[in-house]
Amino acid sequence: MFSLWLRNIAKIQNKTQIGTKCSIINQQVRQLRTLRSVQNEIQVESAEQSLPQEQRIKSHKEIALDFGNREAHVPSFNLAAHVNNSTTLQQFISLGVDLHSIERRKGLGDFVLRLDFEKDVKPYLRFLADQGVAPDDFGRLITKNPLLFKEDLDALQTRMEYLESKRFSVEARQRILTQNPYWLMFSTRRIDRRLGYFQKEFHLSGHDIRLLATKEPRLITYNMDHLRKSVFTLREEMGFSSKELQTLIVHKPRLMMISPDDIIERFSYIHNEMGLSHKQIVQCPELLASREFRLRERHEFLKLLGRAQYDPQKDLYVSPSDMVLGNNFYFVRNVAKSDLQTFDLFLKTR
Amino acid sequence: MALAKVYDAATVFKHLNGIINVYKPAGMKLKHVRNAIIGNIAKGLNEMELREPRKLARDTPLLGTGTAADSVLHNIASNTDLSDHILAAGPRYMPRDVRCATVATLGDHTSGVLLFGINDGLKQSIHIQRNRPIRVYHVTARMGTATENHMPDSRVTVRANHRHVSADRISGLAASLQASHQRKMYEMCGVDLQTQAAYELACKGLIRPADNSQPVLYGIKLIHFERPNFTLELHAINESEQFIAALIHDMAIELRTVAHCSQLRCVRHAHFDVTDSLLRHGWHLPGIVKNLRRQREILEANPQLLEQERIELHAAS
Amino acid sequence: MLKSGKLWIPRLSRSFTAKSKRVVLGQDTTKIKHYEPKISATHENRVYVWGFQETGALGLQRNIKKAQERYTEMVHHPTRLQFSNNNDITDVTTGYGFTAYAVNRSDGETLFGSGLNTDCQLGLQPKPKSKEPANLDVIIYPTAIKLPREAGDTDEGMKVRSMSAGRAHLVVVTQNGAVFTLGNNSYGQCGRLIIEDECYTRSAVIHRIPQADICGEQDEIVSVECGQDHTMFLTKLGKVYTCGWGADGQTGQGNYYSAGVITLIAGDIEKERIVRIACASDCVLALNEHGDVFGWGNSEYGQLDDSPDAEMQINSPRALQLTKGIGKVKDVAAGGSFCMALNDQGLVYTWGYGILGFGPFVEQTSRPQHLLPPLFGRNDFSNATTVVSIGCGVFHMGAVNSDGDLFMWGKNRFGHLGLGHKKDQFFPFKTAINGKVTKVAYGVDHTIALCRPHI
Repeated sequence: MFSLWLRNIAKIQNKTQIGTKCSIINQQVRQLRTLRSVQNEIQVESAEQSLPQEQRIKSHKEIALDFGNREAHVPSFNLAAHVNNSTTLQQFISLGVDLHSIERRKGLGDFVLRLDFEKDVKPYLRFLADQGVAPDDFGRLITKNPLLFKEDLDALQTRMEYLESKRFSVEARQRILTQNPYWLMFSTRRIDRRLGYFQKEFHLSGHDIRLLATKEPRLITYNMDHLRKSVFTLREEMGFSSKELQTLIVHKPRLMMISPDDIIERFSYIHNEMGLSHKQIVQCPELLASREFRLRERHEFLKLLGRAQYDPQKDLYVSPSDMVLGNNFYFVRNVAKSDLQTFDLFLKTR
Repeated sequence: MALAKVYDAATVFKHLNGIINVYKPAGMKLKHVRNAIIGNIAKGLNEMELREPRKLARDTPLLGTGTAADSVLHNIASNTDLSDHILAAGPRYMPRDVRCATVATLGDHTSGVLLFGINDGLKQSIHIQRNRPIRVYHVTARMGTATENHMPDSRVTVRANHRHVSADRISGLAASLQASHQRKMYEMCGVDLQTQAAYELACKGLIRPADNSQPVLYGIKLIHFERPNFTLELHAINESEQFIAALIHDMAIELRTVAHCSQLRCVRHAHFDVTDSLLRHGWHLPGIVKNLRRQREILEANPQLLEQERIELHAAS
Repeated sequence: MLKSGKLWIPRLSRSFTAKSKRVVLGQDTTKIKHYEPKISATHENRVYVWGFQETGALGLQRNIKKAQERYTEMVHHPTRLQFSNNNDITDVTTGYGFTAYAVNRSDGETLFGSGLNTDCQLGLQPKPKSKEPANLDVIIYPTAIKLPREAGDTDEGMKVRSMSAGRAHLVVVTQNGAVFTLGNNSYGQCGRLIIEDECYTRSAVIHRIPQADICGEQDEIVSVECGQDHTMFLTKLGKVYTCGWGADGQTGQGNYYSAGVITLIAGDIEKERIVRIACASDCVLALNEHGDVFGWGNSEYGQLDDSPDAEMQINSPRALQLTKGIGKVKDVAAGGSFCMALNDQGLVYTWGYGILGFGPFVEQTSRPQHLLPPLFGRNDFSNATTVVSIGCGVFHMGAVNSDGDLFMWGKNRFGHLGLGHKKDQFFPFKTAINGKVTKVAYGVDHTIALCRPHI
């Protein structure tokens, strides 16, 4: 950062063709170079040495640019530059907020920097705590969605009351807030429209829609365009009936959030290669949530062992939902009943 | 070499140099494999013992952190330079801190041995690359259907029967193709055929191509035949996935049928074998470090891998 | 992939993403055309030809006008002979600018020929009906050579047992034991008395000799080999009979005369059982059943004897001292100025003068030296490959290895090495032929290879 700043000065120097000014700036640059080298030393040596340097800068104050108050003029590229001087940021760090991840998103760094902890942040934290959100989750929530502090507290209250009116239990509301930091950003009307869409699209009962929203709160605030595509894929391309779709969605809402291209690939593998019927797939929606290569590896390994038998009526039945459970070690031990060396050797022939 | 247990990320990172041998799964892009590897290295390092944030020299009080008793705000030791805290400055190790380059590329549909040079191992990877070592493939072809790009995941264009194809027919064709491709290496080595130098090269047997512009096949052998699939073992230099797929397609046409490549597997790259390669579930820091050590042993056992300017070629290298 | 009763009807207009999986998944493979391959199982052999084409010896052209065009003069790469697609060719031989094919055909024709016909070495060919000024000295496409039949000759009996061609004559031995000689007889190479000033153009003379007249009733002729202007017959008992030009002693009859009388030759081979004779011009090599080599004829370059006071011409068969050290010989070949031998380990030995395969600097060796096996395709990937047969023309040599690959080297007259250019090749180099080579006929300026297709 510092060197960049120096380079900028050098650029200015190139542009200004006036000799006198040049010499002055040259002097300044030399000064700054010494300053930089000393600054590096500061970190290991005592602090006293820096004082005369600062004084010297002040003596040059009137010459060209004012570098006395560094923060006012020097561009900074991350929040870390301000942490040591900002109460709010220090509070955030002690809350466990990942400033590094916030500053990477456009505009959020600026926004966070302008917040005042006592005035802008504390009431919201109090509100969240009142809603039953565990203090340990604050850091994650704020990291995900710092713009929450922009919303009106009353509006947030209204949104929570809306949920309450829709007979979401306390635990459910708590879970929604923890799992989906963006939920509160949506107006009551918007949330209502979303819930209505799901209810109508899948003919869900009030209980089911509450279950769905609690299970995967992110689904409700997900990109509508994507959701419509997913519904089309599930219903038209895969051919699930609305009854089947309803069970599928309620049991595994995450399916709607998977890219339709991926899910149809998985479906085609499960349905065509593994030979599972729609009914069986509805019974174990985990299959569709598992990545295709995982399904492929495990199915082909079972096939090699002669254990790929997914019909519960016959002997040596292997439950498809067990198949995608756990890590490779668990799978090899408990489902395939083989050893990891064999599985590794098998994978190296794929 | 005695191995000591290390819990310190800096020490591990310092020793994270060399070649790793990764088993690339089919259908995964090279870029994704690379990102997964360096992502996992960074993740693994960040989970180890990291450097504590620097201390501020002056006894500056922190402006607003909690105390030990506060349940919401975590306690931070005073005179910590918070700008160096992980939450402010970002993770200590980021994927882009790990330098990583492949020795030779593999196509999307190819699985098998993929060599990466990590950090200082980049030098070794460049040396190996310049040597143009041979790569061994097991290619499974499926007769009966031809596809648009000769790979299984594209549209079928033609179907044909293959009753007349037998194993000895395929091996006969393979032997003939092999001889023709070996002839091609004289064109590739950049020597005028009418000279004494060309004669001397020819007496040495196989020679390496002078540049990496054209693929050269050295060995084609049928190793498995089970209708409708057959598996060939290919020894090649400068090959690409498309080249092999097109070769299978042309072979099938020569056999009066059609075929596409159903599986492409690189089983050996120079002396780096598939048995030592790291499977996807082993792509974590301990696994990678162990693999680095194993490949270092191979490099020490075969120093000619890093030598330059070798022109003659043997099946093993 | 769809559940029964549901149809694939995209209701919404939607764009497919970069992943083209759907296109593949949605494809109905049953509607794709099923291709029924035509298998070339009807004909066992496939013929590739290359070299000088203007003589018509390659038999590739069908149009006389086109055959006279400049650019058709040479065929640089081995080219498949159309004639072999329609006919089952069993044997082939090359003379100086002409080719004869032994053919199995349902209509009873057994011998075809194309190329130079100046001395009627391919028989008297009738003038085509068209008014064009036909040049009957050149036959551009294989044409049947009608061998005169006697009463009792069957189609089966007229099939070719062995044949060979020289500068301007062709000798054919048929299954029923008759020997037919065609073409030039100015030195008696046709096995009949020399007629002074005989006119060979437009001559219909095809001389027929019963094999009993040559070797008696007990023996039979198994093969015939022609040099430039002489003819040698090899019998089942291993006897050699010769006739024709003997100025260099190539008839081995103990003199330097030319004779039209077919004579049994003696010399060192009198008590030997000869199994193979090889000759391209005027130096002859013979091989007995124990793998010993004998030779006679021209030895100007020390091919047959490298001692300082050696004779230039050897007029009676002599056991060669040169090849004593190379083990049991399996195959021999003799070119214009060099000789080749193949021993039982598959090593190829060459000696004499010319391009011997040892690079551009070696032009002459007096002792047989072997070419390294890597030159013939032996390497780490095919470590069992050996040479199984050798042969040579007047200026070039060739070897076929156990994988059926043909390697050629030597002077590249008119591109007859088939390498795609006219530059000489100084070490064995593989010829690009799509098939397993079974037999090669080395002409003076063209080469014909008989191959087995891959399928």
